[in-house]
Amino acid sequence: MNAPSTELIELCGLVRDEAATAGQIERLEKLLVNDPDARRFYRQFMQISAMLERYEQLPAEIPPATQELPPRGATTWRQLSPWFALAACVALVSALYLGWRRGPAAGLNGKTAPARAGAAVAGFIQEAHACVVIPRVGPPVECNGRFQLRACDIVTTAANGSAVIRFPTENTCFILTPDTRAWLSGEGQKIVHLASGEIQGDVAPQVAPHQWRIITADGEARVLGTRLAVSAGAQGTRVAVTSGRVRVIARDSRETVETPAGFAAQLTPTTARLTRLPPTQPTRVASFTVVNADTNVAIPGFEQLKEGAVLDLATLSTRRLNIRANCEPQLVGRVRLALSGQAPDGSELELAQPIANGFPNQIEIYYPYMLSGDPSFEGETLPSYSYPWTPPVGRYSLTATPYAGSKESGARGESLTVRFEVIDHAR
Amino acid sequence: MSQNIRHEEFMRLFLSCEPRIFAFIRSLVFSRADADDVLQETALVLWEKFDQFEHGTRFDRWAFRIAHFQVMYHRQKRARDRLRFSDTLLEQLGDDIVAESQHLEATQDALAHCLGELPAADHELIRQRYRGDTTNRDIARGTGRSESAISRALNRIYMKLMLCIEGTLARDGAHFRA
Repeated sequence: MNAPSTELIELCGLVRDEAATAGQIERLEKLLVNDPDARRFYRQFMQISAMLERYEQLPAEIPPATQELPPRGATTWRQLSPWFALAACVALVSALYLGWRRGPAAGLNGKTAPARAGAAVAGFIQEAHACVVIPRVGPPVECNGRFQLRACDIVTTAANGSAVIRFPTENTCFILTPDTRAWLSGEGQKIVHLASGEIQGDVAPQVAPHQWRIITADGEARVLGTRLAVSAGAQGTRVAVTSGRVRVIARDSRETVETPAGFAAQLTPTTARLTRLPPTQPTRVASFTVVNADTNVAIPGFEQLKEGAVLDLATLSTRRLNIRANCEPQLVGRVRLALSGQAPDGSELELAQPIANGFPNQIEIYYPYMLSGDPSFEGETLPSYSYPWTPPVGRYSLTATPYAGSKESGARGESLTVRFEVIDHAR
Repeated sequence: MSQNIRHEEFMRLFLSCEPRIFAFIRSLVFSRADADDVLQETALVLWEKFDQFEHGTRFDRWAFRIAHFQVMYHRQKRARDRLRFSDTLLEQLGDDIVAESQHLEATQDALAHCLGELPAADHELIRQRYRGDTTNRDIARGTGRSESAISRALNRIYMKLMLCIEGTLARDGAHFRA
């Protein structure tokens, strides 16, 4: 191969540094198109660049080489460094492999997937259905349960899918509705990129300037704590605000509209227009799910608590239970839950659980809407558990009613009542 | 094949050549962020089409073909982007890389070796440049040197690495053609 010209080296360097102008790209093309040696040099150059970019995931300290020759027979860092780098590669690949191996298993078994090697966890999927995560590095992972998300892991939901994304340090949640594609920026950046579909957000109060930003191809919504739904499609972006206030900014024109509750901003790259939302959005409770209160993961067989269902405490994986009301839309203003029960002898059951809240007539404002409550309060971190309740043996009637607003305002939605029985064959 | 076994098989194959697929894409896409996006899309398409992969044939070649389609698709989406090679040159580069792909793995190993051969100062510059999202500008600010000086220094290190890789592969009986 002929020695590359200085010009070729410099142009390759500019491409590597993402600093080349259109004219420089054109010049590089002229050098490459009829010269196989130049093309080979370019490929080699860019492949080294690509491989080094992947080296960023190796441990911080790559052992440095020294300028001095080592004494004969002595093992030095210089001698070890290539092996160290290779061993690090192997370790990294093994760690990723093991992480990915556990990823789909977690989805299938409902257990928490361990954090994978590399970047810090940016958030986590609390629950998901018909969802695939496409990591920045590595193959897609089917996710039907918990999953720890790193920055730029793309979360995609199928036509019948959904995913709830939460964060370890604050009580904010984003719900990806069917046919949605989105990802989080790096840790601490508080940015959600929405490529397509719809995200419903319940954002805990933020301190300016550390607001959440939901970015689409048309612009962005800046949120200091509110409830909103952002949808992105071919017709542009729509930001609907149900409580609080959101600043919506068009991408190119930077036209800005402050969007209060009850309004929606329609966004294109150059325009931002305010429209009024319909007075009330119909809400309903679609189903109930019995969960393990220590993990909030559904108890197998009781993902949907059916009318007349029988829960045998002796056969369940845990007696520390809770029941979640599943609403449509997934985020509503509040949910009022009411439970009554009769003992086998026909007497009224006295229902209580250890945490003093409204149980068994609980009002839940923050998702998830749990019968026995959970520690989802404004501004507090949210562990992935809820308050356990072990139901006494008996027959129960559970009713949940959704409301559009979080306070007394807001239209009442369609409630759901389910009757079920609790037995304990161990007794 | 059950879904779990199928997924594990896919992961085994994909992980074995993921750095090479990225290198392939990065040679054809100027922006690293875009290359990452194309890699993600490629991974998704590979997984979706994994049923069509003929076991016993080379996964990496199949993956490169799909990655090439994804690069072209990405270009279509960015049709107004002026920073791009012509389709002709892109085809040439893509074909060249696929034809020489069997050497990419050896190149990767040789690079690990050659990084260890660099003098400490060069090693430190590579470490600074390729950890996190550091740019030449960041390094220039931190060291008091100009951005162009950093770029030239990196070019010089790249030339050293290329020579070293070529020598390493020649000793091992391969050629640095990938």
